[in-house]
Amino acid sequence: MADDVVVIAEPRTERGSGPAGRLRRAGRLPAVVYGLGGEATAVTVPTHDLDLILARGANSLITLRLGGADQLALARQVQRHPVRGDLVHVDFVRVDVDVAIAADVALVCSGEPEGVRRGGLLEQQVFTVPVSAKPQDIPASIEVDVAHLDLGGQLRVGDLDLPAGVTCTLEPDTLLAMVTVPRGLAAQMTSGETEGEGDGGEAGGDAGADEADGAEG
Amino acid sequence: MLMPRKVRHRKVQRGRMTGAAKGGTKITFGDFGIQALEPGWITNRQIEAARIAMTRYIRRGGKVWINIFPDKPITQKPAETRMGSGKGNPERWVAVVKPGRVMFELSGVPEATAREAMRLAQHKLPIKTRFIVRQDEG
Repeated sequence: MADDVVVIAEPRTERGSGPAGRLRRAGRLPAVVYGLGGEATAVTVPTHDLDLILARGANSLITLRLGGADQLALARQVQRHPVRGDLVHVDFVRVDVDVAIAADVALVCSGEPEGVRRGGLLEQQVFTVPVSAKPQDIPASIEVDVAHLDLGGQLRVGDLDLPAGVTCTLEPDTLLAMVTVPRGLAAQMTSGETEGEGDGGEAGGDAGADEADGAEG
Repeated sequence: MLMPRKVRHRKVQRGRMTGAAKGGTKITFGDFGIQALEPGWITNRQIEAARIAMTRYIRRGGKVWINIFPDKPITQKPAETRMGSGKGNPERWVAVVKPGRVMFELSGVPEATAREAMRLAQHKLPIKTRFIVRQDEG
């Protein structure tokens, strides 16, 4: 969990795309603050400062300084431009340090699985894990070692080693990642003979079916 | 070749391609992707050519996802035909792509391999594109 940081917010009175565009061009980002039973407040924050904070982790605890009053918040619904990647709008949700909240944390698979060394393919099914934790306990990412996974090996939510105070809201048997056997390798393993030619070495699934069509075309 | 099994209307109007893509702008399945930087029509032949270029380069290992589908029929009048007599015949299928759209995804290969495979695929496409890498915002 990153240390909490202070962002100076200013109230926003003008609404609509025109004023919002002018704010963005002036280096300020339109945002809204809500949560904890308080009313939603339209604000602006410095775009560059917030971008730097979000680069350290989307679940960074932020202290919003609005009109002399500080309130703890988390950035939610971070909207970016689809091509430029610039921040377009951010929702801040007020949080209480004593109350657990829901958050999505990035799942990072580390290590090369045993099955991949034998020709398999690591397929990660879930890239962010929904967790419930107090705001200061939310990790920046959850790293899991997958080096022990052999061909057909699976990683499930129950296998995750979560930090203290963090619980995953998914079912324990939810599949996170698995080492699949590519079709070419599966054929080799069953027939015991090499089928090297052709470009049908793709893993199974929809793309694999396409490849079979395309190789003839 | 990708094309719809059946359609409600055999012929459709051309439409506009203003603005940026509303969805499908992030990598969803794989680790690497090709993102459109311009609007355009991508034909099913171009999609197929790009896919083959990628799969031939990565050979074994790796998985390809195609996130666009050519569901728009494009009509054409036969050569040396006088104008009139109604709209031409459906000749090809295209996917309408707007800037920001992630069209192809790839996983299970090192970044250098993915970069080269996607570079080859990018040459098969009629619009400006770029190679992107998954960035998880946890």
